[in-house]
Amino acid sequence: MKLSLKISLLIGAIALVIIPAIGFLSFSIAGKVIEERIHNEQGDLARQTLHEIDLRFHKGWENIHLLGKTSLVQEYVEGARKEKLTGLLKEQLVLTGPWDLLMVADTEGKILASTADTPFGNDINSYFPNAEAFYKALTGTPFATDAAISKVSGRPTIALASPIFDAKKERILGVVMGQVSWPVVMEILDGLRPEYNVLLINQKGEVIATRTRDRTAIFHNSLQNDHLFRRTAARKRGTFFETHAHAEEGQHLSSLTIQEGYLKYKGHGWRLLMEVPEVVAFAPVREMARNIGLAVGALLLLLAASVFFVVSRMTRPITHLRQTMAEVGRGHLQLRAKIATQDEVGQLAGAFNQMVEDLARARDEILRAKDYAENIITSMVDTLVVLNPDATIRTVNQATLDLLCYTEEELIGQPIGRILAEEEEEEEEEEALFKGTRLQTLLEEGAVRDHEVTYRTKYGETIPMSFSGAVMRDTHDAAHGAIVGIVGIAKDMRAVRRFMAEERKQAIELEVAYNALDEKTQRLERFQKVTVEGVLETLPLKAEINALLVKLGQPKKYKAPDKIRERRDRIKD
Amino acid sequence: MKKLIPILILAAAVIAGVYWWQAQAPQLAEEGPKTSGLPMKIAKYYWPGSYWVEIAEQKGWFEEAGLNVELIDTNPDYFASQQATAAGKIDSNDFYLFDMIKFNLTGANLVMVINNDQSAGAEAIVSKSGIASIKELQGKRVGVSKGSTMEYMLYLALNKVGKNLNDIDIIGIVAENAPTEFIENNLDAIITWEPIVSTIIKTHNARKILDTSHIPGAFPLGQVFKRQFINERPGDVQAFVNVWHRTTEFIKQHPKEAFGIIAKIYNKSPGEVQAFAQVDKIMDLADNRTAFSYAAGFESLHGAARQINDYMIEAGVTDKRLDSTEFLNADFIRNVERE
Repeated sequence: MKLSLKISLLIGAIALVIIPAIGFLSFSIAGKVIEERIHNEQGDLARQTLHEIDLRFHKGWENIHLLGKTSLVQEYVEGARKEKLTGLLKEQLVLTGPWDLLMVADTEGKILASTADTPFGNDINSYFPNAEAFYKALTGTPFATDAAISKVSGRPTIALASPIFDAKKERILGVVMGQVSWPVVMEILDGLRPEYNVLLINQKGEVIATRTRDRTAIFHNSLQNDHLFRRTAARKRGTFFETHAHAEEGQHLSSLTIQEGYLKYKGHGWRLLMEVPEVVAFAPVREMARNIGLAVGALLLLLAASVFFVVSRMTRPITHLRQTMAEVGRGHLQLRAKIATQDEVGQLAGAFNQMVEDLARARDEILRAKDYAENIITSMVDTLVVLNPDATIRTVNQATLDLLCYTEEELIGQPIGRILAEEEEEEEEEEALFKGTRLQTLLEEGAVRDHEVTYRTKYGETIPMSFSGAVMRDTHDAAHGAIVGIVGIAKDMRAVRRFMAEERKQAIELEVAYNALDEKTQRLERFQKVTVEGVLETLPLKAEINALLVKLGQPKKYKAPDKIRERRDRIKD
Repeated sequence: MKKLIPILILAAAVIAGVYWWQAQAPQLAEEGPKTSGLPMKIAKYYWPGSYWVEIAEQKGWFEEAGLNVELIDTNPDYFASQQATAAGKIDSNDFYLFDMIKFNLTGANLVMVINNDQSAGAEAIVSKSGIASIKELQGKRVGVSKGSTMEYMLYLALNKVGKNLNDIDIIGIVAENAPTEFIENNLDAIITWEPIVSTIIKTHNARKILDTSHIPGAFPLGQVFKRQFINERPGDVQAFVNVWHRTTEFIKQHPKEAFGIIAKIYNKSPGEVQAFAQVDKIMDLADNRTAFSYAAGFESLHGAARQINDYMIEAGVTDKRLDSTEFLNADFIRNVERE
């Protein structure tokens, strides 16, 4: 695998570890801080929501207070001008509020005017769930009741009441009262993110407002037993948090914020309970962690790609060098590595090129030496056999192959017995050259000379050979001198033997001729004595003797007639 | 190839990891509302508040939103289309708030989810040339479709000058036949809408003594659905409202092109189409935010509904005080804001 790929994969593997690790770390390290921030945000949102509700009621409270102070109202009440008063209230119904109901009662609680479509009754108790606000207002102070179901609209509402003074502000003429339209509260809750479960509860734990879609819960559900509600029951202000598990939706983050009122509208200590699944509340954190992880992952992958690109470029000379090395290894010593840079890689390429040059030179020398040796071996008339230490044939020369009618493949690796007739035939190891004690002797003495052996050709013909051999030892292992092989040269002795046989035969024939000559000479001498005068008559015999002598390479014994006369004279002497 | 295996494994692991991570992430906001793909029959009508329907259709935005919308031409008989909507044969239509409340009193169970438009002069009280003001209508024969938006308009106009319906002689007529009725029945005044108003003024030398621009916000119109449809296909409704928002923004930003589309469909000049939109204001998201807020005045649909309720009680149409939160649903408009 390429180095660049390895590094890129390494970075990729690091990315695999780092992405979740960063996600986990960023989530866990920042988690506490962000959790607190989320708590604060939820608390702020709850306070803001309650504040909006308080503002609405404060506005209603101010409207009713102003209405109570309006001179027209005072005038109509004092003059008991019910129609005018009703018209005024209907006008106010559109201009202020929104109200479900506006009405004016005298100090006795009798209804003077009302915006109700049909009169419910003549006294205040017919319109309101309780007359608390009315009686409080009679004391001279505007008042707002807690939430309750209106007898007029059938919806939850709060009643606001303000006294109507006479012009001198000395006497209370009556009370102006209004029922706030409850949808304004639910509308505020509707404006919250849909992920939030939101409930407005009174101090008793009763649900007094929800989102519009959940309104059936109003005054039907109670959170009296809710842990967070009970825990904060005695508190007058603040925001409190709790995490709890839902059977189906998992962990939820709950906050309970206590109503504080606004200016003169003091509120009723209502609680705004907001609940959101943790997965939703912490979604920004998770998203942040995921985005960071993905960004880091993308960066790491980009880095891996960049590293791959850069390292690929950096290692290109190495790749080229490796390819050149492979080619050189295959014997292409003429190739040279490119030296593209002057750095360590460039220096390495230079050194390699130098090495290849030296190698080529050395190889040329070896080749020359080898050629020389091969020439010698090839040119040798005598046979050459090189044996391995286990007496198998390692090398043979062409003379051997020609003599024994084998191909090189048929002999290389074969035991020497393949070509030595005697090695197979000699039962006694003592007689075989490459067996037993003789081999031991050969190995010990290191050489053997003119040892007669018999080669056998591929076709079974035996050839007498004169074998001279020497043991080859590892010259690099001088200490042990391990045997690396045995080299042997054998000479075909058939011609020599034929010549010797011929010579022996001629010697025998010569001996026979000598013997015959000698006998005839003796006989002649004896005859000379008898037949001195008959020399002439012996001339043919002498000629015959001369011929025999010539044949034997000897000088003629009998000369020409002069010689014969000398001989006759000598005989006469 | 072998070299590629670790890379492929690594890449697969990274992709799987990312997918796993994505799967773990809570879906705070989905890509868009989930639509059912079921057919949705929507009324089309040559009316500014309904321009958007045909523009959206031409632009292919319903389809883009995953809605299978079929437009129903209600121009031949708008009143019949209201009946069809109340009967559930048309899924959505542009209704006067007044009409919707009236239909609901008969059990139609319609819910308004968009305030499409606001009449700003489209309806008018047209009188003989001798009558110059509302006050002068006292004791006069006034032709109006009884129990209709037109009568409600007359009610509001009279209230403004301290009069009531009992102060005039009301003659029941069919509003579409107003010019004929005006002549044949020798009426002193009629209450009708554009383009009939302009026609009568031209052909019968009549006089416009009051139009809806004098009572702003009193005549809101909006897109209504049956409650059952909303409960069963809230995703479709949300997608529909989203398309409305997209289209009204387009109308605001490219009025020439938008009015050109309508002009081409109805064989009108773009100028005529645009002029029509002057007397019937096309409401946008910001207007809807205000309109769906709970308030007592005409700026709020709830306030307008209360006024209508007051009239109906006074006119004896009903004796019930209605809860406007039952038939005005702001959820879809709120969700458009969030998306």
